[in-house]
Amino acid sequence: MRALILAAALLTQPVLFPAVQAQDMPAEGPGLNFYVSYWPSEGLDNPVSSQALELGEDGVMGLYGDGMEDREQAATPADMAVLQAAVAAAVAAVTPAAVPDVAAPLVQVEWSVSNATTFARGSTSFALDALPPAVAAAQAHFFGAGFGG
Amino acid sequence: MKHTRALCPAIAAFAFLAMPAFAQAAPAEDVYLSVTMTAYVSADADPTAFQAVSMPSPGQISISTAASQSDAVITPEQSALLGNAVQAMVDRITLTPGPGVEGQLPLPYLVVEWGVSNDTSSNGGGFSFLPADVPPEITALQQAMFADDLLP
Repeated sequence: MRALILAAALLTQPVLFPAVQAQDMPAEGPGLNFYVSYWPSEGLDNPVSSQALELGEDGVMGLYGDGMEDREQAATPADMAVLQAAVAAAVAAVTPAAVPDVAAPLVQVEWSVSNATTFARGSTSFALDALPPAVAAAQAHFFGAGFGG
Repeated sequence: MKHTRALCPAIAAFAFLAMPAFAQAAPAEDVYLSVTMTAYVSADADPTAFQAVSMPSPGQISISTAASQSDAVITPEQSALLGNAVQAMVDRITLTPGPGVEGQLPLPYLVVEWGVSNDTSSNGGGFSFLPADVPPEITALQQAMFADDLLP
């Protein structure tokens, strides 16, 4: 459950100072990572449920979700398409403009990617009923279900 | 993790930025934007020149180099330049994972770090660009704020 602990830790970590995180947080290595966590009400210190997918440079992904055995498997082209669509939906939500706050129930989507020219990471909270369909599709594909259902 | 070290050039200048932590409650309608440019020109020395432009809170702008720092009320023109630069970085994110940049780009190259946070989202990253590949939105920001593209 290392990844879930990590995902929870990300919530309280500064986005930056990756030099420190590089030592402590393996998920910051080259790869494509996707975390979703469920915050059904305001005032929670921790999410009630989490799912994490960490895809390494070697094409093997680790899948960590509440109520399921941790597993590692090679990412198929279909897996990649689902994963990339989900992260792309989260990236598409990034805007330099002001946005209104959202109220619980919330799904927090965190992602990070690194490759030859990019290192990027982000975290966006979506109202459960406004979760991008590609994110829900990835939850169903990799973890069998999303949140709140 | 040793392979994380491969991201060194892109990560090194992250320290210039100070993004708010997720845990910090943001005032309503808060926005934070930042773009920092650092030129890597020599294999023998760490870069000493950088350009940083940020909007630490709505309506404010902070402009920094190694030699100077100024804070002011942001103009609509500056706001547009900074917003366009950040958006250009977000738009360039590619989602195919791979090894880091160190040793892969010939000198000189420009590292651009960006950050954007608001009430629901906190994001940041870095890119390395060869001189010919620096996005026009970045060059426009550099010329408007610094009259200098940092590259030799």
